Amino acid sequence: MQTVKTLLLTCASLCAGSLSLQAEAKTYDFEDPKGVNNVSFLLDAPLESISGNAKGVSGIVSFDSTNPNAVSGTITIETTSLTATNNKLQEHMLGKGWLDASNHPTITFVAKSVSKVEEFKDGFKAQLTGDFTLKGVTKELTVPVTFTYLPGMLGKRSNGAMEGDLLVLRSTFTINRSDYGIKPGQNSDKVAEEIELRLAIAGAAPDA
Amino acid sequence: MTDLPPIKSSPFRLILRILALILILASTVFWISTGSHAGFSKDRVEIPQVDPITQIEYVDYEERFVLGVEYLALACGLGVTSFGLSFAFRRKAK
Repeated sequence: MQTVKTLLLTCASLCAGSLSLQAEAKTYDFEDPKGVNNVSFLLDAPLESISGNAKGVSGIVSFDSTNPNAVSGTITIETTSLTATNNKLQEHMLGKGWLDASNHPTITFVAKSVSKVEEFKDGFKAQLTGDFTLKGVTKELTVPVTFTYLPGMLGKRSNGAMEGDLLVLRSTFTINRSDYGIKPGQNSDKVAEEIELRLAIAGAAPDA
Repeated sequence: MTDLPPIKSSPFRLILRILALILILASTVFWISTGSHAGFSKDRVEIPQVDPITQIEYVDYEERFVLGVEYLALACGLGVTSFGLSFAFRRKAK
């Protein structure tokens, strides 16, 4: 009888533990009315260096500060939000020949798994593997990501309108435009083959 | 000894040289006044910002034209061409 009681108690505590762990996972919304979230891009070709920025970032990420291996979610960038400093360049970039923004309105990253997690003062560094879709082509990528967890900082950021936590994601990685069918092998003197992407976004998880 | 006849400069010669000077000077002054940008022309300028809470670095854009080196090179090229053409109009003896 004692053994059964112990077994039941153990089961109950395990279930409770699992539930409390589950409760730690929060859903962060990366829609940013402040216009801070951004992805910058840099192409360094022999004749021309092109850089710009995209602010049309949205997405939902589930993150558990006690279990960073359980990250999941999707980050979406509106293709038309890509901005360059030159109007003509921007027109070409979003046009049919290059990104074809009218037919491919979004660029997405869907997180699948996390590896090589390292803890630091305010968060974690990890390798995040996911499906990256650009111009309708999806490739699996593993990118370095820094998760900075800012508990209770939503109130400060929203001037007290909402209470909750913030999660800041930062990542820098390089893709090859040919892999995504963006004029493969063409115009390499003016438009670099490699595109460096720098992502810095913050998501908010308001208290229930 | 006989005096050489006075030389009259062709008006085109002078006009082309003044045009060359105006093109080179005006483009250089405009290029410097818009920030001496060493790259191609910009229709908007990036203003770096930092979010005080998240420390995220981002840019805001200011809609302002910045002259690039392509226009400067074009204007200087036209100036040099204009100056070179001026030699085609020879001085005439009176």
